[in-house]
Amino acid sequence: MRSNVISSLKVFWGFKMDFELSNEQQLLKDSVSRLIADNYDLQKRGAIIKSADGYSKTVWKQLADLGLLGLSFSSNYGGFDGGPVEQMIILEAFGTGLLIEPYLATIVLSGTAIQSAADENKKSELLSAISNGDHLMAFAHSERLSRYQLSQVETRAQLKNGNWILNGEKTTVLHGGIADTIIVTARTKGSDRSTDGISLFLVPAKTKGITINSYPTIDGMQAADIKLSNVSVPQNALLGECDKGFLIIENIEQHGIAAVAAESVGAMQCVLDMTVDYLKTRTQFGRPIGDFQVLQHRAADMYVAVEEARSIAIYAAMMTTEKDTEKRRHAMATTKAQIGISCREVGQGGVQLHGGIGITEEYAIGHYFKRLSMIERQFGDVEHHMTTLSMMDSPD
Amino acid sequence: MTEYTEDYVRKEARTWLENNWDPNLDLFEWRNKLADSGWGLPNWPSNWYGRDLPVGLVPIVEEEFQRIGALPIPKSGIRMLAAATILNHGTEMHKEKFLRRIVTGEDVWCQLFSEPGSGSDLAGATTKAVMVGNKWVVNGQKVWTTSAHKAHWGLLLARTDMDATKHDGLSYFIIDMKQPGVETQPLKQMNGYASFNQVFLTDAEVLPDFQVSELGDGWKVATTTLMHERRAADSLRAWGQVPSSEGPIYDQERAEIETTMAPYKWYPQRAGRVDLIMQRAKETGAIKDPAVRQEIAKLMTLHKSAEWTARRARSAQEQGKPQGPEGSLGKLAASNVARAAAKVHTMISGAHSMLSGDDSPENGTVAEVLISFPASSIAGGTDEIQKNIISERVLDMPKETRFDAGKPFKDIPRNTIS
Amino acid sequence: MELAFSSEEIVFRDEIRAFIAEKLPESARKNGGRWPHWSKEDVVTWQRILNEKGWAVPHWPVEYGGTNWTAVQRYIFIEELLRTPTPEPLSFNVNMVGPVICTFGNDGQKKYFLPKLRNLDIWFCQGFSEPGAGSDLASLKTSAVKDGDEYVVNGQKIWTSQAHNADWIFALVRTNPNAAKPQMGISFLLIDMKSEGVTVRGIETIDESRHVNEVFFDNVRVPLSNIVGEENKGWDYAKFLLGNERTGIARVGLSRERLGRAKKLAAKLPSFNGPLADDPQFKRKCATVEMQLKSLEITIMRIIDRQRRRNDSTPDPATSMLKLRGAEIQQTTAELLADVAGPMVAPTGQIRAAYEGDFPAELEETLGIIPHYFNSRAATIYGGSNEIQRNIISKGILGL
Ligand SMILES: Cc1cc2nc3c(=O)[nH]c(=O)nc-3n(C[C@H](O)[C@H](O)[C@H](O)COP(=O)(O)OP(=O)(O)OC[C@H]3O[C@@H](n4cnc5c(N)ncnc54)[C@H](O)[C@@H]3O)c2cc1C
Ligand SMILES: Cc1cc2nc3c(=O)[nH]c(=O)nc-3n(C[C@H](O)[C@H](O)[C@H](O)COP(=O)(O)OP(=O)(O)OC[C@H]3O[C@@H](n4cnc5c(N)ncnc54)[C@H](O)[C@@H]3O)c2cc1C
Repeated sequence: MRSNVISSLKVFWGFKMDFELSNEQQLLKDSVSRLIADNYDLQKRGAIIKSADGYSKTVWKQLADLGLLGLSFSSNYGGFDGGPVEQMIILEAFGTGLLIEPYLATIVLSGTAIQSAADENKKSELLSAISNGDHLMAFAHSERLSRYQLSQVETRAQLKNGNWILNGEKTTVLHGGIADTIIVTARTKGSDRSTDGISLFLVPAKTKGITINSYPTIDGMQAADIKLSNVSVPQNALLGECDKGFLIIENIEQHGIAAVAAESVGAMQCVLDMTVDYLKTRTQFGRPIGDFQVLQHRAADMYVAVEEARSIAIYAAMMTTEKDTEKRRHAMATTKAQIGISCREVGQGGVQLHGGIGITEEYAIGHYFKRLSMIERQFGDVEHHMTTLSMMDSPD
Repeated sequence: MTEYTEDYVRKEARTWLENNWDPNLDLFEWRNKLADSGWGLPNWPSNWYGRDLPVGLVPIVEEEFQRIGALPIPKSGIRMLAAATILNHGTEMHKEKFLRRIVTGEDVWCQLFSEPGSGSDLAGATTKAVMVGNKWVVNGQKVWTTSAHKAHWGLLLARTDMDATKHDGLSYFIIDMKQPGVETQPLKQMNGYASFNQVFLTDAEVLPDFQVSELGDGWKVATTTLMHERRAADSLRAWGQVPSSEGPIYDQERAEIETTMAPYKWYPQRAGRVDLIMQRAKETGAIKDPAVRQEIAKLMTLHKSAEWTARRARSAQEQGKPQGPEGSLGKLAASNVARAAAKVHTMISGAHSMLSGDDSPENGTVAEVLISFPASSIAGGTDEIQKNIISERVLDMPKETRFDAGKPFKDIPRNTIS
Repeated sequence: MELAFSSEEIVFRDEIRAFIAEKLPESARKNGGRWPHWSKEDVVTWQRILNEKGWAVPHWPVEYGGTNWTAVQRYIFIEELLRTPTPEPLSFNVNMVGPVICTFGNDGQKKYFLPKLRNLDIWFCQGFSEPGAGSDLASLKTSAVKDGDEYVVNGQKIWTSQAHNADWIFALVRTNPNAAKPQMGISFLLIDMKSEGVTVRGIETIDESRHVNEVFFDNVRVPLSNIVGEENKGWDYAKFLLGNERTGIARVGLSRERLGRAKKLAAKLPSFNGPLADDPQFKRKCATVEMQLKSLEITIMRIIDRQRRRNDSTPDPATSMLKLRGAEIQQTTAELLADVAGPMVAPTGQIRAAYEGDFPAELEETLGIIPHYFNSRAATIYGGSNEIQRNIISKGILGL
């Protein structure tokens, strides 16, 4: 099954803007969708959230067996050389099912870090470990007072007797509580806000001096606050060049943006579909409420917002591989701004058009709304990216 | 079918242009060359002045035109809608007679759809066509008819059966505008132009051959025209930009824009002139104002999403999918962009944005944006109508309550002015 | 309000402020409205303190405990409570059922209920909505059938806020299923929640709480004397009540309080150049909300004043505007606060447990923010959704 789906995935992705899926891509889409449909109704998801690990090991294993975890990694490291379209397909499907497994943390964020900064040995070791589903990772960057400022890093790392000593506190580290290895960003020189002087470290979660407080987040996932007191790791724990981590961090964030963009499209499409269905079935004043033009127009506005998001998610997928950093930066800021706008319009609209039932835990729409509200604030919100854009010259 | 690749098309186009483009040619001589070679409208059928090229590859050809400075076919105006309609529904005679002169731009076309009593509710048209002897005789009034005063031909929606229901009683004709029964009266707009007209049809004549599709098919054919109009909305901003190069052929095109193409002079303004924003912001120093920069960023984000939505639509078209309601998406996006652009222009230029004449920003262009952009959300079907279309056709929501369904047209309440 | 308040009114406002500063209990002060719902204890305690001072129900007729304040004074009073914030006087008692009993109740009901409503000895909840009757309230099905000197009530209510805390419920019930119009067969009935056959089931909501409920009535016997006004006239009383609800729902003070909190938090967080509080875009957003609040505030006072002069118990359709804008601005400010907090909104309240008693106090500050945002989405749904308010405006005011 695995090789079957995957080997045919090396499809042509050219200039043609061929947004329709090839047969292979369609096959991929179908198999992910089936996996999610079988494992992810609201009740099953609820049970997974309440379980001790906060994610399903069974589902994670299934994703690994289908080859989805290693899909986008290079075949030199046991991956399948999947392109941005394949990545989009998977994430969109995850969005549809509101998947809470640690894909973003382990595969997208940590995977990007390793791919872009690790040496060959670590690449083959870690990428294959995470693709197999045997190893979980997390990316510990944000701090209590960093908000969206990527260069705000107060956690320190000092080289002492051939070991790096890390001190500081990281917050809301996505899936930090279940990770085997944590990528920690720390300042190796410079002031708290300087882009120069940040480095990345691979830290096994069990290392002495690490305290992890893990808790559920509003969207059903898990995050952790991580305290590092005199955590000591060997010199080769350094990921990438010393002091030059900022560009890697930015690259990680950009992959995160492209990923949540695709995921949000899946989630938004679901909200739209559910809402339209509801408008057709809910009766008030002796007719389906979908008869009322204000509701039709609001649904039409939501549709426009979803389609705009879809367009920009495709754009983002194309731009993740752009070589020119300025262009890529601009594209990702544009993407996240549009995604934020759409998430809000669609999420809020979905709740409003459902009336009272829209704000309950028992009904699906609220869960989508919560995830979309979280995505709005992941990797920078609308205002943040608008400001970023407003400080740049458009590269077009 | 040939397997086209980007490189192949680029090379072919480049070679042809290098061998044929000459700025000293007469404008119409050049356009005839484009018609004969198919490079003017390469996605058209090869037997009708095109090259059967997938739509997605057209931008490659356009890039080559730009690179060498060659004048493209002006892909603007009702004549392109006429072409799309004729290619879809026309007879061989129609194609033979009209298409070439559409490509060369020798004929001007207009769209006789809206009436005083039926705008959004286009199917409520009351202009009548009655067969007298062996000719159709047309009586009624049309309004908002862009370019009617310049037009040789009109796309006419008229009622041929009062006993049929509203949508079934309409037929579609091509009418000769240069005949005694057609009288046009210009209407002046708030932006100072007079691009549209009232058109009075008094015993105007149409030969039976000039009917498009079957009797009673008028609504179906009009829908094709309208879908193309909506689809075109995203390329509005490219219309009517006067080339700035020196040379006789450019002079000739400039002269054309001043006359037959006059309405398209302000169409770019109604689309918001996003292209001027950065330049204006830098010139005025407004770029230093963080609030302005933020608004510019918003506009550009909107613009980028709209651009990619249009690309997706083009890609769908390329895959041979029929023109669908997604044109409404593009049209709504275009009015959002126009609105946002007008707002940003105002922020940048402040009170100066209200000036026209020599001292004004961009020779009055900015002022023109401010009084022209409202047309974007009205012309070609209002924003509200686009949302109705999306809700009914895309989301499959209940249809609006109709008071006219199933009844013969003559029994339906109508505006008294019609 | 510098613009609209006279010096006497400023004195009045300061008096209210001083009172709140002196009397607001520690527990309420500490809670400070951080979470969207106050505890029952906080609400009861505070309302009793107000009642002792004679301020529990300023807008009621003086004979039933009102204060005879001007519309502006009443407005100042409630807004001071909200912007502090203190628990709000229980709306079901003081804005909804109270005025209905004052206006349409009989002497016995007035005597029994009004003092208890003021002092929150009885906590009421509102049983209007049903699964099949939300915006279309008149289609409600819960029935009350006469049997001797009692009604027998059967049916189901839903979204009943606070039913789990309530002693009584005021319910709309169908007493005449054969009336010419559905509105004409409805009565306004007061039901003791302890009656046999009443069941309450909580509904969990997206703001991590359980404040709305389903209420089931299974052959619940209610004395005939518990009907308010005339049988089958309940719809008129409900309209009267909803009109009052709409005026009370704008909650400008609440929005102001949130705005203030957003600014304070923004001062501690970074933006591109310096603190977020100094970010020009953030400042513009705050200015926009302040402008909107000012317009709303003045509109509220105009409408309250006009209502007094109208001398008419039918609701003024213009109150729909207050509900509409009030709810929207509440949402805007809740959004603003959640936007400032940004990624800090991620943790649920369960984070406290994760720290095992070691929870850093400064984190408490941001915890209730996202529940507030989620809860604020309901503001455009309850009390007649914003779509319904727009329908009322377009029909009732614009004549469409
Ligand atoms: C610049 C310009 C050029 C034009 N050129 C041409 C042309 O060349 N040929 C031609 O035939 N026409 C042309 N038009 C006319 C154009 O197509 C009509 O103006 C348009 O269809 C709207 O019709 P109306 O003006 O009669 O407005 P109405 O239909 O009277 O609409 C008035 C308002 O009611 C709203 N409305 C109407 N029906 C509904 C509904 N069912 N649901 C919700 N809202 C509704 C509309 O959105 C609008 O806001 C042009 C218009 C402009 C502005
Ligand atoms: C937090 C919360 C607390 C509540 N507390 C109480 C309470 O204490 N007591 C009580 O009785 N009720 C309470 N309600 C119920 C509330 O009044 C109803 O939710 C509300 O009336 C809407 O009804 P619905 O939920 O059935 O939605 P629906 O009426 O089904 O509406 C669904 C959507 O359709 C729209 N819609 C419906 N009809 C029209 C129309 N004619 N034109 C345009 N749009 C329309 C609505 O605006 C909404 O967007 C509460 C609700 C919430 C969310």
